[in-house]
Amino acid sequence: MKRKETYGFLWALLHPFRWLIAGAVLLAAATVLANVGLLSVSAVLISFAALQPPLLDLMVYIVGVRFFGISRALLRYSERYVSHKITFRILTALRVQVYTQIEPTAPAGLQQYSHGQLFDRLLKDIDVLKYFYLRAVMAPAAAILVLLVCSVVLAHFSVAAMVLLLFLFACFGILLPWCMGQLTADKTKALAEERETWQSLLEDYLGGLADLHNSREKQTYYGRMTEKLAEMARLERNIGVLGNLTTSLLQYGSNLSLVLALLVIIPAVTAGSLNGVYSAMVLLLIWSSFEAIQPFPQALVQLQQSLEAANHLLKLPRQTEDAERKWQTPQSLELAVEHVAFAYENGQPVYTDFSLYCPRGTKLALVGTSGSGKSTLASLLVGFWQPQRGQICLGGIPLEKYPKEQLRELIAVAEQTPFLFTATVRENLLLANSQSTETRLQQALQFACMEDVVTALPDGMDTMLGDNGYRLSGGQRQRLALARIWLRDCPIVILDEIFQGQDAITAEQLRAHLRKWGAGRTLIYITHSLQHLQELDCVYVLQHGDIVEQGTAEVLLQQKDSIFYQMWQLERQQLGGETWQGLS
Amino acid sequence: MIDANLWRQSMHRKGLLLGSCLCGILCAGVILGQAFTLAGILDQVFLHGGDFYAVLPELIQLTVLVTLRFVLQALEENLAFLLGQGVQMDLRQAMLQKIAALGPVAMGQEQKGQVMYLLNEGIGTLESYFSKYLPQLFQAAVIPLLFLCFILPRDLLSGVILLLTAPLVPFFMMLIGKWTGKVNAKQWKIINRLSGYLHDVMAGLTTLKLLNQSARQREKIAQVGEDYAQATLAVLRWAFLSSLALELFTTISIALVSVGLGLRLVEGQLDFATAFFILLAAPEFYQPLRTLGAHFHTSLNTREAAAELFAFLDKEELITEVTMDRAQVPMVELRHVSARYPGSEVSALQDISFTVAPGEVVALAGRSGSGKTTVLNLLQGFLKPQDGEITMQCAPAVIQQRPYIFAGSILDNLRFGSENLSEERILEVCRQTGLAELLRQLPDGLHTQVGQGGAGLSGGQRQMIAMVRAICQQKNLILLDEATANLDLLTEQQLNRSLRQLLQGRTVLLVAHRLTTLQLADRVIVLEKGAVIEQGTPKELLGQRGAYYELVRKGLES
Repeated sequence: MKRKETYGFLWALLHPFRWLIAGAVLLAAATVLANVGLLSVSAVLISFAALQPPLLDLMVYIVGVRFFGISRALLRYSERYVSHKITFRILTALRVQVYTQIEPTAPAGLQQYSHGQLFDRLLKDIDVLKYFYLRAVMAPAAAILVLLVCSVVLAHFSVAAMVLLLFLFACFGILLPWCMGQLTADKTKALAEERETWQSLLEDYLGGLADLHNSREKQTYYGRMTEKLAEMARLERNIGVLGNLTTSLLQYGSNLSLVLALLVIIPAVTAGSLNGVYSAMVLLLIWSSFEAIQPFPQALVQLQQSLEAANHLLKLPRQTEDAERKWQTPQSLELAVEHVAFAYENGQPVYTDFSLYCPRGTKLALVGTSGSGKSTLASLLVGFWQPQRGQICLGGIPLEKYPKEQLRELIAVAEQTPFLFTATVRENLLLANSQSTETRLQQALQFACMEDVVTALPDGMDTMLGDNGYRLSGGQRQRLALARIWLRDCPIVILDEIFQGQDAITAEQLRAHLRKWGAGRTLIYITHSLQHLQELDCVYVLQHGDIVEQGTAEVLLQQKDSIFYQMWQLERQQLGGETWQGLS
Repeated sequence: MIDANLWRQSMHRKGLLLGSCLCGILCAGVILGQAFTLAGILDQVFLHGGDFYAVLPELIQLTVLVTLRFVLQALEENLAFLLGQGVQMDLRQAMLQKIAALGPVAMGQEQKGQVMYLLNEGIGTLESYFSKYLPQLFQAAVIPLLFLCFILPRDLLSGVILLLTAPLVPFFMMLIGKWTGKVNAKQWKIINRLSGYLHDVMAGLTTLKLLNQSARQREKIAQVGEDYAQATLAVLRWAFLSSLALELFTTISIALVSVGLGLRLVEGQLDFATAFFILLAAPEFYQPLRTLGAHFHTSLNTREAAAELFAFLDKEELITEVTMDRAQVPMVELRHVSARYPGSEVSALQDISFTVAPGEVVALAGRSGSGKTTVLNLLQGFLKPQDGEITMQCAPAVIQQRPYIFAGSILDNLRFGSENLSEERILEVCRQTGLAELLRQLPDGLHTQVGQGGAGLSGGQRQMIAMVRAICQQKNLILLDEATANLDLLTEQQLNRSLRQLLQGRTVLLVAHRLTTLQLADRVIVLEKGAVIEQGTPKELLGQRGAYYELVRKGLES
């Protein structure tokens, strides 16, 4: 059943290209036949010549030899070119299709995948499929055509020889690969699994290099990796040796066919049912037609790999199609979260009954300990997850009615751990808004207090940032992401712990910039620090997914029994109340 | 023709290469015998009226030869295959070791997607160089000559045709190799771009979505994919063209030979058995050369991968063994140390000196980019100082700013570097640090499985795990890089409380932005632009009203 589904998936991809593929198959068959023709006609030519006929009688064969000789080369060239071209077209289309399929489900649907695995799907698994088309589909189809033509020709000279040919093709074209398939199927599967674990080990190795070094675990880990490599090599060796053996057996078959053909030909010539002149031709025809099944063993290995890859791709999540959503025109931009209940898959509930109202232009903060559900709200607002109960409205229209694209035009999120691309500073900024002018980019950097940092880089704006912005410190990375937010220019902005990792002076500057830029925008700060909240319109204190207190910081601070006040006191003490007292 | 670096690799496994070549050459001898026998049989049957029994000995001989050929061929292929596999293994191990020797700072400049591609696929493409191209190179040099020895004495003209056309094959190969060098380099670059780009898109998908750019990547994927297809086709077109040329050459030569044979047969200058033998032998004569031509192209493809691989293996290693001196009194000592990151013009540290006494808690403070993290990089041995000396009494336990969590259970992660620690002891440390509190939120507590990079854990949880991991390692020296940055107040308060206790008697060097962390310190060293500008107890420094005072004031202002 599963097999069927996998094949169905692969065929569906093939469908739009079926005529092109049919053309490539014809070319492939013609290429093999040209070689068969070349050798057969040569054999007839020599045999006839041995009888020393007038030269003119040989002319037709001489022309035949030349014709097949030249067409063989030309056919091979065009067959290869056409089939590869088609295959690459299929692969490019497939890559886009897979990306289009998984993109809407991120991040909720892709949680079980590491990005390394997804990368593998998009790059390697799709690359493997090229052999499905080049070998697994085209080779057998071409072989059938070759067999047909050769059988018809052979039947003219000797029916027994034709039967022999069919028998040989059945043995070496079907039985042998089938046996090999039985022997290698499990190993191919095991190898694919080993590769997955290897890949995750490798990613851990690359990502955790510093931690491995410091805990003196590098050698142990290296040992584990070489073990895995050896295990993979063992499986590859088994599969490879079996494959080589099959190829050699196939060759053996083609040479053995010479002996078997002789066993058919000799009695036929002796009995006079076959003219001796054609005996060499029949021999070489059978022998050379083996070229058609020569790619089979390799094709089989590649078919198995393709099926594994296709299975991987099939397992990827797909969006349950949400109907075309129309671009909405909300009258206002107030946010209303109404009685929302939400839990992550297999997780404890984050919210049981969460409500929040936030008119346009308000500045508010969500505070609370980690795990109290602050960041989840941002994910819900941009539609990454859907609440299980209750609803969220923007300008009176439920979020589900908005196209996701529009939602993200309206709401920007400065992430706690933003991702920076292995590209230049400029490219990373342009990602936020490709239309930005140079002045805008500079302004954005200014806004994020990144001007000096970027100027100090060797090539300024055109400096490559390295893997995930490695050149920058944590705080700088976050600020660069803030510059992107500035360029996006959205009316609603969620700022998730943006002051974390900033030194006090920079944080102060950022606050001043946000004050100015935030006029007219809704700003939602997510933070666990309670300092500097006085200027905000409202502070919500979250505990276990519920709002336990709300109000301006000033009002909350006046209620000496409020949780906010207690937390604030605590923080004050921690932030060196004693030192401060010592100072004054 | 032969890449020096790759040749050196193959020399570690000489036996396999030699064995494979030998089998190949023996096989060629058998092929000759096979053609000879076959021609003899047909001659008997076709021209001399021989029946089945007359040719039975030859038939048996043929069967034996064919079987022998099978055995030799299987041996040849498998030996070559093992050679390719072995070298691949050697290279992968070398690369893994190199990655470790480069260290996190140098590796941070590499794109992970590209490194992984080189390690997996890049080295994978080299396999064919060893299993196919290299053995074939030797066979192609010997086998045609062997054939000529048998053909020339029997039919001079055919022999001469073969002799004259054969050198054209390597000649064409060289010519085409020259032309395609550039195309190959371009293709490799584009493959690299594709893999790096896809890796980034997958890693940054959430960010892309938030920027509303994820759907737009579709066109870019199509574009990069198209470029990749174009570049690969451009390379393949040359491969196909060269094989077209080779094929044309060989088939036309074979046609030439066979027509010539036919004509001389008519005139009675040649007997049928010889003619048929040559007809059978001619394709086999070209076969090694043609195969070489095909593999030559694969070898061109590997050229770029090999160049990149050996360039990687030659990279400057940044990991240094920091001098450990058990006898020295200060726990950590830096004397006139300057450092610069590779590829950067500016010094990250300039002539700094300080010591940390045993049992002391020292904080490094300063604005971001002032060189605090560089000091820690130096102490961990991730970077070579350009000048000056660093000595330490013992190796440190380190809590990174962005600790990495490995796939596996949380317990596995905590036991990192201290396998022998009992679960009870670990649980105790968890309780002391407050990690136990966080673990309660997880389904299986300590045994909860986490994904790569700590997928499914919050920043705070990751930090706490790293903290417990470092404490469990029971080192006398601890380096903390902004360790409490991701924690919320309550957790941090709890941690700071127990931290004092846990750090009791240990020497600590910590980097801090936050004042809460600075409070832990006996002494603060303030850095600016890679130099020490202030040093003293927190109280003294506040009293001086200098840079430290400024940092604290801004941090507290409400």
